[in-house]
Amino acid sequence: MNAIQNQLEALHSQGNKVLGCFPLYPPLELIHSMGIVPVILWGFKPFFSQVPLADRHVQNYACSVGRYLMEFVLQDKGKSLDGLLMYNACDTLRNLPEIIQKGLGEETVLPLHSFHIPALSMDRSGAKEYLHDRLDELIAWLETTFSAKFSLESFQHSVNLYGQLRQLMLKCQALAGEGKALFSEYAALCETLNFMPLEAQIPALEKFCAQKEANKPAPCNARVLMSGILPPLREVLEILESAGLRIVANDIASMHRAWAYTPAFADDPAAYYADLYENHFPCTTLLPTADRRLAALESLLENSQARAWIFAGEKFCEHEYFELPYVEKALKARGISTLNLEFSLGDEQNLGAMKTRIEAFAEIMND
Amino acid sequence: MVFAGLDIGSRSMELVLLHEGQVVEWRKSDTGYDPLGQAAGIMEGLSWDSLVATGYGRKLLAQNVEATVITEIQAHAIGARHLFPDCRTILDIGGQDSKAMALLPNGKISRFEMNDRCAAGTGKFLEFMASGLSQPLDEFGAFALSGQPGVSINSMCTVFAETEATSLMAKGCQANDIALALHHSVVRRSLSMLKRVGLNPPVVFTGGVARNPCMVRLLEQDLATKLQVPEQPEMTGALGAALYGASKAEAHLTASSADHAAGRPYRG
Amino acid sequence: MAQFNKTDSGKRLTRLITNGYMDNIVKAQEGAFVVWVAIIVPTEIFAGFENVIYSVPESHSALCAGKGVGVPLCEKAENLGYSMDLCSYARIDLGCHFNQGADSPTGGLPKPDLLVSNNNNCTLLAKWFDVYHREWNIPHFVLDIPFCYQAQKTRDMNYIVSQFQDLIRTIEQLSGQTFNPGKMAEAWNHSAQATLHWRRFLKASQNKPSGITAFDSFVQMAPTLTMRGTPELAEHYRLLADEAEERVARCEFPVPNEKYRLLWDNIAPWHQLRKMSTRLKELDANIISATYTYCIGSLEGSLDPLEFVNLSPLEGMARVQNFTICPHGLQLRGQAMKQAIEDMGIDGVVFASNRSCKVYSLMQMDQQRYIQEELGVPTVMIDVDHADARKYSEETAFVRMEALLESIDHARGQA
Repeated sequence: MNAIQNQLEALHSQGNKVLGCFPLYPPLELIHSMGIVPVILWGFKPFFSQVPLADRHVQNYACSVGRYLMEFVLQDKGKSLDGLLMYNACDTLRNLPEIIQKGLGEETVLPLHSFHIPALSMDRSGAKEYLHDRLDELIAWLETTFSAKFSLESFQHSVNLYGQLRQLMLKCQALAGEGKALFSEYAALCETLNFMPLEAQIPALEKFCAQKEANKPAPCNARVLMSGILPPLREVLEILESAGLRIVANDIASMHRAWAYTPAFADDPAAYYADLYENHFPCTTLLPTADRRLAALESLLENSQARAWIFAGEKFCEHEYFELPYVEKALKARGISTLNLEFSLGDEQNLGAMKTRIEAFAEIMND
Repeated sequence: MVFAGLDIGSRSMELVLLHEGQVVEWRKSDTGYDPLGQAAGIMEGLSWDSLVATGYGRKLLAQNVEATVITEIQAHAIGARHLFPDCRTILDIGGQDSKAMALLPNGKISRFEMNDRCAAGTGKFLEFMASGLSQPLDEFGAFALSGQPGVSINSMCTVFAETEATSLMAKGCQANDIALALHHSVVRRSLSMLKRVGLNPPVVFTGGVARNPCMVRLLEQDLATKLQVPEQPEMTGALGAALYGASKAEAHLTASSADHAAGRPYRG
Repeated sequence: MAQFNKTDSGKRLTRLITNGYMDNIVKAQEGAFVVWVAIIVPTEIFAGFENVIYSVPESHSALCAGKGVGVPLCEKAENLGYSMDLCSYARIDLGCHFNQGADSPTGGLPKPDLLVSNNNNCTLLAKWFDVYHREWNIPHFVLDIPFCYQAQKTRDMNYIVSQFQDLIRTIEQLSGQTFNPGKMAEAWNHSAQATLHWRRFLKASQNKPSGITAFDSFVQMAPTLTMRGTPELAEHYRLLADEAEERVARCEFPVPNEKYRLLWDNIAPWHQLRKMSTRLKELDANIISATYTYCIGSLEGSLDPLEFVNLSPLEGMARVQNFTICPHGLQLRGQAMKQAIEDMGIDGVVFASNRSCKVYSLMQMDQQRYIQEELGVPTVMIDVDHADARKYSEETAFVRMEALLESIDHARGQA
């Protein structure tokens, strides 16, 4: 068993009800408020070198996120997960629930629920009502499956805690931007936080902030904004850092995109989530946010004074790659240097070529 | 002062020594499975004041020998620009990777692209196909040039392309026609990279594959422009590395002249 | 579009398609309001307007691939920075329309005034249309259609209907034209008629030997995408079905010595239609049917057409958003395939694993096990990209398909 499998199994054996969720933006506050620990099944790359079980079920042109996710769930066989929750985002992930069920076979009973987030503006007719309906259905499923009960008081409590978490995440990012922390350290922290309960995430983030705050800002002139659906492997981040590139801001789906917007509490979960999804930091996977993306990137660049953009592409992620040429062209027109990196399964075998690209980019920037 | 540039590629390594702006020595060797040992061999008996390493083995060398490192992207840009001072675009096709670089009018790199993990579009692909058609690699280009157009290899994947080539053979197609089609497929891949970096003439073609006359001819046809090819195209990276060392030394000449009293022999 | 048997229907098809593209170009020049749609957007809605026409980029890309210009157009998009891993339809389309219609046999599609996509056939289509939305500053209306793991629920239908109503209002506002629901209802009836004739045409494959090949049905699907809701389509399919029935009655069969009746699972291999069908015929094999061609009208795990009773046109259109097969999960697709295998006496299934279509392909490994192990029908998986010939190897594919034929022989020997 690898570190993450151990961590999750420990979480489960401590008596927690663990709900595996994918992709990144499920209604976390709601799940947490019902006494269930939501764990986002994302970022398994550092923990698995191969995906033999997943390879029996999906072709190798599925993105690595999907393949690792499958591998984890199929190896886990319900040892640490008590259920699965997915929602609509991309064409690969939407096929996975049924494939996972096939892969687990009849002997493993893992309750699974498919949620649907309206992929349109909440101003469009029927959108809010539909979200409301689907949330009611989700609450009913959680109540039955986990013998839990929804209450507005505990929802409010969870909303407050997640509000704290969001602010702490932004603070960590700011520390990386100021040069008091390395982005690779923050990314490594996020990697493990993702598989912890919220009550452990908050103090871990507080500790990180306290440790780093006292540091002297490291000087740097190659300031970089990084985009992608997940951060590259730590080894790659370290290559970037030792080439003198400092990631001072990120537009990564599992990091800044996930935490940047904090909705106000509303005494109806549907209103809260309508606000969250409508005003979410733009993500290529949230269709209605597409029009705001470039403006959001520009303000990240301006606030962080980054003068370069690195696209950490996940191979086969259509949502990211359809937007790449446009974003790249727009940023170049604003004098931003850009670099495209592509990641997939087996990145660790490709570090040499990756290093050449990164160092050449650093040479160009410093030239 | 003598400036050494060593380009340790995945398939071969090249060494250039510069003295007073002139190439005084150049050597070439296979990289093999012992890049350090091969490097020691190629540098045997030589001395220099500054060594700049490039290529995929650059870091390995620098861990063992006092050397500055630069990427082969930069090395090729410097080398090509030295040989062809007005050059704006570089295509480098080596053993295991291929790159396209766009230069600003002042010679700085504005953009580059590298092939992804697959071998399509690299020297490796041609090598693989040459052996499939029982042709010596050195003559593969000339052989392809004797072929007639009309056959096409569509597949981008090395394994698929080989099957395609085999089935064309089975259908009675001429080996040289197939060879021509295979070259075309590498050219198409290269063009795509060149277009992504933005294509401005003059275009310099570097790397070992630039010795292949068929590649040069087809690229020139498709680009509708003459390519500039160094006499020793595979040396461009090593030359650029040596030139980089010279330019740095020039910048620091007065400050550090005491350190360069004597050449240091190489001790692996 | 590539033709196999130059039947009367084949000639009519060429005429219909050519006229369709040309008419659109002329009408657009004369000021029609032009909509680009994803294939299952209910285009009958547009018939409710005086002067709204639509174009279908996916169908146009298939046409380009069939005419052999798929690869150069893909390369043009790649040169603009679009990843080679993106759907080949999308790459062809971007390569064509960002180069003023380059290489397209129709010179490209008339520039749109509105883009309408949906996210259940594939989500990437919304991302693809977003590219034009940004580059050309053209409004993009996304229909959010919940994915179909089970039969559609009433709340889903209502949600979809409300979006259709929104779409109608949007077109009214943008085009300045007034919507006429009666004309839409008329178009919906034509579609229903066309579907029934299409079913009759496909039924010709139940005959032994089959009266048609899947390759015939692939090419004949095109007008469903580009002329849905017109009386001309219904009439064309009526004649098409009549002709197929007459050929069966006259014992004229595309593969007269048919020994192997195969089912194809994925989008048509547009760049290989003639080659593949000819080579299979030499082996006495016929791909008689495809899950792909059953997508017209049928839904939710069944190949049977939708019963329209008690549904308003908009409700009916909401239901057929769940047409077979891409908007379906594994289980419903498996059901539909089982029905196809039984109805048509299928001997073997060819799963075409298609890098350009993840919705179609990323469940085939389990589907293959289901068909092979639970239904006991021999299967094979080959790699084919539907429109990018660079991702296909004929020899590799045929070695596998011939092995499938051998395993069918083997199964027969044992029986």
